[in-house]
Amino acid sequence: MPAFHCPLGAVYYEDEPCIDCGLCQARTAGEMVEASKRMREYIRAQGERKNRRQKMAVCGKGGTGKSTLTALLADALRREGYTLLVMDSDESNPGLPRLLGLDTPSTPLISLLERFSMGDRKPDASWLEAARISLESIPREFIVSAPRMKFLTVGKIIDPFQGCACQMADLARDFVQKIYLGIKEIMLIDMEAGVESFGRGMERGVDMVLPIVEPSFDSLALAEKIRYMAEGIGIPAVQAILNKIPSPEIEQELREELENKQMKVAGGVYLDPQISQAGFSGKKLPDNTDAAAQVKKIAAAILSEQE
Amino acid sequence: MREVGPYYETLAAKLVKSGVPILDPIYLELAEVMGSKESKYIPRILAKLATPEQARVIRELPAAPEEISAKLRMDKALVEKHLKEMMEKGLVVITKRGARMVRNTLQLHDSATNNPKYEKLLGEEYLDLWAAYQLEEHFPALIDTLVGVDRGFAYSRIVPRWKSIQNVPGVLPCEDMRDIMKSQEVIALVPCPCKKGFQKRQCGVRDETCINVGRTAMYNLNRGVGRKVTPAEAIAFCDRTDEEPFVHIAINQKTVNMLVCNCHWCCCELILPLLRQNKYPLWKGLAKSRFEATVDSGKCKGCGKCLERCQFGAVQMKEDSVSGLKKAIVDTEKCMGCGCCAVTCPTGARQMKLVRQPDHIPDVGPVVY
Repeated sequence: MPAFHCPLGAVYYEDEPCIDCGLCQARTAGEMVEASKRMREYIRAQGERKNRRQKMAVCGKGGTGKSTLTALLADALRREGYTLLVMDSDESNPGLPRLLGLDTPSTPLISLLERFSMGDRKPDASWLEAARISLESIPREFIVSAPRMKFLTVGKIIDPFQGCACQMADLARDFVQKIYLGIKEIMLIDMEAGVESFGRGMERGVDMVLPIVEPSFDSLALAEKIRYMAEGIGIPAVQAILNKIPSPEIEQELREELENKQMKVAGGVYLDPQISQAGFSGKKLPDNTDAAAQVKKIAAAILSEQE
Repeated sequence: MREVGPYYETLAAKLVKSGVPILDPIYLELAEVMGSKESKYIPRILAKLATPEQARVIRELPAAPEEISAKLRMDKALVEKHLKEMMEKGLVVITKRGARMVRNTLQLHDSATNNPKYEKLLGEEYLDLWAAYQLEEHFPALIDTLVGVDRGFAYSRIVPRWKSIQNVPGVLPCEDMRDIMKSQEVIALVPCPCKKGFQKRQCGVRDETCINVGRTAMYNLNRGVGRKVTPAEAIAFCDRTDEEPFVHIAINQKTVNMLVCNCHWCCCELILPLLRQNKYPLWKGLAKSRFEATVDSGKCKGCGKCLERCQFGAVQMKEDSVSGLKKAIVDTEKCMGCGCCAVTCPTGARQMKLVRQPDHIPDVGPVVY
């Protein structure tokens, strides 16, 4: 029964805001109605805020640490009280679920494509045809559930006769665009390496692009290209994240280099043997690393961009 | 209309015959604040839960202990002690903004019947008062909340047994107990307040069946009610109780963030009120799941297990015109899609099929509609 329920969770979680709706203090039926009206308006207003950044794409050159940073960011944001939808569209390495501490794999979205191409759109594929898809309306076979997190993968084409990758990209793009996120919900996409996905318009549904930059010429050049392409499809929010920084001097140099290219920097992560160890053994990323503390700051910088 | 048994039907008469004690008017005042001014039972229930002194402390809420202490000229430590005891008993809830009295009798019922610490102290008559109050006064008043005429959808929904739908594609995470449990940070197994309130019920289902999650679990654990379990233990509990006659019920929305009830019609606050009236069909106040039972008549041996398992009278045995054998058939109007028949069918003849679209379950539930 609804007994102790605060729709925002403000009663028990210190980190969640109380909007003073009065639901928990209401005593008469009239007060209840008034309070739920306030709550309803708040939820609606949150849903319609235009400048919010809820869908973020983590991208960059191969090997810069996209999956690792996606996992670290997901953990940091969950600790801030957000519910995450993490989407793995990087088909080259299957490590992301492990870094997140998930064991059971989910069915990739691509399996829908096979059914679609056979003309089978019913009844279990109909959810994809809705105008908006909320986190809770994705069937469980495509989702791995964890507290405050859902995980799904796009999948890759294995069979050469399976069809064109464009079809897959269409499906993924449609999906990203249709996902409808509520209050305190964020979608994080681990993109495939390079800028090819931009060519297919995958990022069109995304509100914010986070290029990962490591101390290398190639990676810097690619970050600039990503910024250029993101602007081209109308995403003004681009914030670079520095990774694998060996020393403060190099961080300074990287920051200056990016400043010259007029790119915002959300923050940086130093080389961390604990993280490399976890990445090597395919285990969940440990919680109390220096990198986790650095990513917490990055998450705060990204969230302040939302306002 | 279903009856719950002769004991409960005559309970009210028995309690009234035992004589109405002379109550301190403070209890009538508290009852009025809870919107139960006219109730025969609520003031008596309150008198059992709180001493007159404690009742006066509660009457001052919402207020800080210092203010209450100054106003009633009572020691602050004593005020705090009373508030803590009232919190454990379920009359007071501690929120971020301090202590407050429970909102209404629905909330009181869910919190004030299941703390084992006070079970002996409150005694059997206390629980009988609740049973009489539920049957006589509360259930008729609850119908509107459950049906939600202005809301347009039912208050709660059936969650199928996970084993009954494990091979069906298109299941949502909010419909599969395994996913529901895996997405929780805190889970507590709590004695069900409905079952506690009907001590002489006939269904024989154990008390400890209420699966609290999230904040509700934290609330109960904080006041010493229930025990913390892991997602795996909660799923194991569901598996172990496949044979027991109860259905999973959750609040009618796509996120499960309060609890999953395990209910039998004879004592459930969410089912019984709807069975004791004729204005609305059951599914108006308790939404069916998106699934429906089917029977493979080739496999059905007519053993009648499903007839005994179904709480909603949705099974009929009919003679097959060809073979002359008895076979089970499903009354689709009555089938709620709980999957109880499917998990115990000895021949696997009963299967669940997906029959409703995802929007059958509202995104935002009845608490904020």
